[in-house]
Amino acid sequence: MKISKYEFSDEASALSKIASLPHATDEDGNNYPTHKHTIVKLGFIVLEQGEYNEEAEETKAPVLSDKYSVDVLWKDLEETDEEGNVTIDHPYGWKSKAIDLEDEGVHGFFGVSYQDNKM
Amino acid sequence: MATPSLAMIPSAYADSKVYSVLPNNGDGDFTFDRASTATRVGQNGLIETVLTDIPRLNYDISNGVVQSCPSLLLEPASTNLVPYSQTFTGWSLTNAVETPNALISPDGNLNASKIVTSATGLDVKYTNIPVAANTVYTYSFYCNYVGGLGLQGRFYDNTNGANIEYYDYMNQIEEGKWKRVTRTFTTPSGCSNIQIWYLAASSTFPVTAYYWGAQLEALSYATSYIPTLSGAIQTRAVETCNDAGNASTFNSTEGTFFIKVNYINTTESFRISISDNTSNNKIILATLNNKYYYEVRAVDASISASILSNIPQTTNEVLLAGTWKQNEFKFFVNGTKIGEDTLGNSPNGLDTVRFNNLSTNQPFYGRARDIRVYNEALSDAQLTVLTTL
Repeated sequence: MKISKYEFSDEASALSKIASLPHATDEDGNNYPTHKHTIVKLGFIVLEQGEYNEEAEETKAPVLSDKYSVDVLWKDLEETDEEGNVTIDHPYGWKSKAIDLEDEGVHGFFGVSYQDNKM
Repeated sequence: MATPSLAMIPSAYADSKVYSVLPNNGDGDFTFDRASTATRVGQNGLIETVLTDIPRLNYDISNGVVQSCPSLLLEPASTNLVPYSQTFTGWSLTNAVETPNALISPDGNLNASKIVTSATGLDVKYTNIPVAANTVYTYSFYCNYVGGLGLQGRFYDNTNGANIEYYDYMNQIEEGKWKRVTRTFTTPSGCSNIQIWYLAASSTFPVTAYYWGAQLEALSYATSYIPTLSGAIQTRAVETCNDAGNASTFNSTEGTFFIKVNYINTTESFRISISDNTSNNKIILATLNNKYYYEVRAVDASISASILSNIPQTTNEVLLAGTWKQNEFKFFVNGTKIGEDTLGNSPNGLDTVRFNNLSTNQPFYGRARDIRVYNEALSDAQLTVLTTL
């Protein structure tokens, strides 16, 4: 398994890329993903916390990222060529949106280190 | 009664494997997958972490008593959106005093916080949790109540500057015992950030309770606890459990499929199936339209039987059984014959039991206690006994 973190310009771009991953239609016409990846839509993450008074009212607005963040725990991405060489890479169109952090970030997959498993 | 050709009563497991009792040659074992760690309630009644790809045999606690037989717990992916789920790090306290590490928590460690409220105007709040608008969330936490009156919770919409709701949870807690409080709510339109509050609307002070294990999930129900100890929110990966049996395990011509389970909620469609790994030949015990459902497809995915009960889907333990035989299909729920179809073909080539419909479609989420396949269509009397609680 591999973990990658991505930033998209907006939510629609992220959803489009997620929808491009393998899907199928069952006998009742329901569309469902056939991959085993775990995809977490973090959205516009908080860069600086807001401040609020005792009445809960906002006194200082939070600062949000202008990028839409998505974390993915990829499963079974390995591909083996004719000579038996195994390669692992982002699915088509995802690599350009990948970011590289030096820590674990604001989100993790329970018990699985991003630093030890990042692509 | 006949001996099952496959029986999985949760009792033994290994990395990526749930063992079946029958057959005893390994052919009936399930392949299990979960790409993260997760928590379960162990045999000692305490919450403990299990490693990646280790199935969770969960020991339910009923009326404060740890049950002797575990269930196989299967859950969807879920993210705990509350940072620091076991402490009040990052929380704001007004007219309240926190004593960290004041009581043994549900994980058996001295890490639960004591909160004593000293006056009106109490609030204990976490003020910045990003959420999605128009989305159902469930907040849960463990509370051990000491005394006082009026404990409440509150959700506040930072984006619109408006209250979402206050709620009273006194009826979910009990003095001197750990209880998991749950509350489900929907974020308003435009809401992208919320506050979570504990407060006390009391005529007398102090009000005292211990807290541990806060969890906010974008689901209509609470799932097993996901710790967020470092301040980063955490996701538990989805679980799958499939591929038990082979062509020699099952009799496609006739048989009985039995399950004893608790579904994780009362609204979604869940399926457990025997199939030829396609949609062409398949036997399904399921929930559909919030009712219990039995379906058989044969040859080219043609429906041989489709029997929908009028019994509402619950999260309580339920026993379902369906039989198949040329022109004879029966469906029993909790000791009652729901219906019978008398025209249809038996399936061909059955070779696998899956905790879903096919691939990743319509998975079963909940607790499985007993899964059996018999190579004969049991009689009505036998089915009544088999499915009686």
